[in-house]
Amino acid sequence: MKYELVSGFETHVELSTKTKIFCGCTTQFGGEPNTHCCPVCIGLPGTLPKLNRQVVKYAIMAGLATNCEIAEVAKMDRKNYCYPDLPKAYQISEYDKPLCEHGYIQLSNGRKIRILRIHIEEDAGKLVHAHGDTYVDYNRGGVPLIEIVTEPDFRSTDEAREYVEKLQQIMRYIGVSDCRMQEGSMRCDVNISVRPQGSDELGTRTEIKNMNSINNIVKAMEYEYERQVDVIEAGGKVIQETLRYDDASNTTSSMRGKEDANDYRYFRDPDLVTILTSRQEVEEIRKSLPELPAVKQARYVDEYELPEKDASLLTKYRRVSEYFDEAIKGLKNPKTVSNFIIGSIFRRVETEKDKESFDVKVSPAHLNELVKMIEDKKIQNNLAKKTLEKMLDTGKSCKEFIDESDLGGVDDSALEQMCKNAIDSNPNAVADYKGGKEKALMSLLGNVMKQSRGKADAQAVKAKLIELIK
Amino acid sequence: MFDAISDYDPKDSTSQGSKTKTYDTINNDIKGMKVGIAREYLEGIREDVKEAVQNAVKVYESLGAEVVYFDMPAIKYALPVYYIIACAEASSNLGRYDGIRYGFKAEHYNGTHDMMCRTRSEGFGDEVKRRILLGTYVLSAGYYDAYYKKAQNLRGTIVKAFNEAFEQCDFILAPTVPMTAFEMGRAVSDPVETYQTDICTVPVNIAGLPAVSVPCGFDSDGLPIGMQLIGNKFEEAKILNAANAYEKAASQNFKETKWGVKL
Ligand SMILES: [Zn+2]
Repeated sequence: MKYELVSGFETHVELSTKTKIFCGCTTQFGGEPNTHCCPVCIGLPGTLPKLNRQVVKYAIMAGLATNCEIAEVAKMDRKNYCYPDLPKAYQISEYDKPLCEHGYIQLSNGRKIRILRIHIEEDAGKLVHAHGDTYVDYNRGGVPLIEIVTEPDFRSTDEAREYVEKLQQIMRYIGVSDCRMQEGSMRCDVNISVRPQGSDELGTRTEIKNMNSINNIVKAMEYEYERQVDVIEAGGKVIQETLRYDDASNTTSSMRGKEDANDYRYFRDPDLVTILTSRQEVEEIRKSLPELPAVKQARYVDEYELPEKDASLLTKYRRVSEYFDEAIKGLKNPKTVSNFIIGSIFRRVETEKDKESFDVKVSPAHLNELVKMIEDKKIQNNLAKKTLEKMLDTGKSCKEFIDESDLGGVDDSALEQMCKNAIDSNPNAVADYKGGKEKALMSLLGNVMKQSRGKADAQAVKAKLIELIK
Repeated sequence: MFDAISDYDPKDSTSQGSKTKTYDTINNDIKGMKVGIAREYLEGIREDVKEAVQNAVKVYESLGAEVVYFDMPAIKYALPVYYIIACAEASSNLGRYDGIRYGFKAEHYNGTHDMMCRTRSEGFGDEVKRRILLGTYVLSAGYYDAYYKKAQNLRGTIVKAFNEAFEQCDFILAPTVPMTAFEMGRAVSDPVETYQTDICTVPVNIAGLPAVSVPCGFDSDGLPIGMQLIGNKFEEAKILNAANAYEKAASQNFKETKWGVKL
């Protein structure tokens, strides 16, 4: 029998607000244990939470960027459970009135992954095991999170990969999170079930946690899919449980204990007031959002006639696309700029982090200047490429190198003179060409290029030679 | 003092800010004010307490206030509603006493989980444990709708009843406690009976209203009897003014008791 994968995602994204969700402590990653804390975020008796309005704004931005409806009235609830990393023994979250609902992210195959809800909540601290003891670091406690919950809409690991990449890309574009899985600022829990292909029913699902990269998510899903198919093929039943993914062995194993049959006893947090969001505020936030990557990519293809692949590479990181937008100002041929960025500049920025910040030595204005010279036929394409490398080494403008090594182009009258010289000194080649030997033109071309020390534009020389011979 | 504590607290999101300045408005003039009496407050309370409260009503009449009587059936739900909500919140609020960061910590334990269990078992007293158990129960899946949710709905009903009452009167006069103080040590034996003594005061907590308790006489043992004046939201000035006027007019109730306590 053929089986189908059915999967849904719950993704926690840490918001990059300056301060925590209910107090004024910094949200910075790292730091000596328990130095980013105060009486509120370590839950001392008598302290009260005060909601950071920036968190609401960021969550609304995330909601709008994923096509969600924004609730006018939302509230915060307590999720009660006892664990040493949770100082109040409850997590403040949103249970039945989330801020954002009913959104979607569209994949390249046209399918829409529906987003059930996005809600805000606080992060927990971290347990540190050392010297045979357990310690708690509350630095991360109270850092704002959004949890993005999808419907079980994934049918393949490719779709899952694309979704996570797109989500990361969108959150980074709108600037609400850096979404670094390694640092834990983006964490995915994946629900998986299998069913016979064509069936409408959902099978029993398992939930996988503890994956810290997209590759691991894909590997864990593949493993878990195979495992469930094997169980069913062998006549068994999949048990609903929470699994931990083990990177080293590429297997999943049951995670008992903490999650066993928890009753969170949700109830509205009496210390916090209702979150009201006016329609006007939502519209203002909508207007303030930058052009989203999918829209931008489509525009690059339509407006600048870039290949889909190139447009996708340029829009993957917001800074890269902004660099491109800046560099093409006033140019006729954005494709040249795109080629230079993808072909030359990308080779210098290898890591994800570097591409994200895209802090390259050549400014967009300098690149613009260089491409303008090509368009004005002042410099040849391949020489421009070499110049760009030098610019990338030094951070200097192209003018410096063109002056230094005399790479300036050849103007029309000089070109004509050089072509005449070549024709005059090579009567045989001229005769051969006239006799139908196309190749003879190449030796004339070579002669002109020699005279110009490589500065002349080969296409222009060819045209001029043909014109003169006739 | 009152004006200072009623000011806006930027660290408390439920803080409403300074909506009244009280001290300057106290002038003892209560002529024409309407004193509300809800019949339910006088049901099931001890005769001498009832009498003392009725005497206070007469004092107000003599000061030129008008007395209006009405029914507030909703307040009979206040006690169970209060204990459900208060215990639910307490069960969650007290979770932070896990022995990790501060406070009592069990001496002997085996691992983190055991440490937390022992800390709570040894650290909390019986009444606290009773309320935690009650609170976790009413919030549990399967019981939430029957208890906690119902209590919250009834809370809304009680708030509404008070809103309607304040359309008819300036403040409500009621006994503070249905009897006078019981002997030391008796409270522990029967928690339900002890909870009953709160029956007159919890409606105010449920509805979020200001109230002031004022001595209004003594029982045959010389124990003081109290009455309370309940005001509408942010109308502390009104009830403090009325309390002050009463104190001036009925000073015999503010003498020193035989235990030496000056009321
Ligand atoms: Zn803090």
